[in-house]
Amino acid sequence: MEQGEAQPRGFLYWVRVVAIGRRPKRTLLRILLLVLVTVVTFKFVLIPVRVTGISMEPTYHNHSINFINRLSYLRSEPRHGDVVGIRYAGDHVMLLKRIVGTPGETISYSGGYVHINGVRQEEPYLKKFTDWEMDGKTLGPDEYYVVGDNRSMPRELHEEGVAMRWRIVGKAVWPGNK
Amino acid sequence: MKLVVRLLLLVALAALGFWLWTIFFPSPQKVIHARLVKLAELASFTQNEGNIARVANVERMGALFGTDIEVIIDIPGVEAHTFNRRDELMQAAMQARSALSALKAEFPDIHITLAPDKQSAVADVTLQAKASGQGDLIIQELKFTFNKQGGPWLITRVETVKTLRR
Repeated sequence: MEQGEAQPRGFLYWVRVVAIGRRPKRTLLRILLLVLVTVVTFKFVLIPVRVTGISMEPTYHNHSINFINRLSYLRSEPRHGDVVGIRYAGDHVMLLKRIVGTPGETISYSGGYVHINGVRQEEPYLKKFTDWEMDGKTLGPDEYYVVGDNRSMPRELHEEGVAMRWRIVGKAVWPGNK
Repeated sequence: MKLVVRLLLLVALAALGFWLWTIFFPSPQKVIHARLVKLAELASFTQNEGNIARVANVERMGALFGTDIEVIIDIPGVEAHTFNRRDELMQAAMQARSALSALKAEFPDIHITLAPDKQSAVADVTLQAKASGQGDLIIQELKFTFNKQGGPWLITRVETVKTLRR
């Protein structure tokens, strides 16, 4: 074989090029970086959640997938209408609820409608209304009132109430069905 | 080069030694964690569980609790209930096994806080359970109090925690 003549490149060579690239070391580095970014993102920033139950119907359906963004409230505090993940003992299992009351406000239900400081709130995300009634409850500092969008179920069976700020993990990424 | 290899071997040996140490002398947190995992395992049962296995599993579950156990159940929509003795708790566990055909219990989150004297600890856990015939998962936050008092770590108090206060 003459010097400088190109080596014949067989099928296996091209399989290797397609699978791991021309520079295996660089490919390995890229894979490691990708794995690291993925792990950090989905473990510490965007927590994947699968909705179980019907308390957020019709905005979020049973078995739908969403992400909770942990960074949502780094610079601002939760606001009315935000759908948030609320931790139990940890964040492997969370409640998905909508914030209807923020610190200092007095929350009540009258005829199924949320009232803040006695003023009825417009809640465009609600599709079914009920006759939920609750006397005014004034929220302390770091307290948020959270409730699901499905208020067609009896209030006793619906998990809703006051959540402490430290329990709010972050905001849901997908806004759900409007 | 030889020095680097020797250093690496030394580090590996130290890591192995540390790992073995944690296996043979586990920390209280590790022991309590293992006990909670065991509790979830023993509280779970399948349709195929025989009578002897049922009694044995309830007995083994009871052994994780102190005799003067206090269990306080206060869940919205469910009648509040308190158990004050281990026998009562075991009886309730037997009744649950008779009433349901299968139950799968897990603690996906366990956070243990050890008291300064290292003789007691509090474990905040999330219970996730699925009973046969029920569509929804049962999710409940619980607080377990463990005490050592010279013997093994035993559960002396269990109470439900209200994640959302009404």
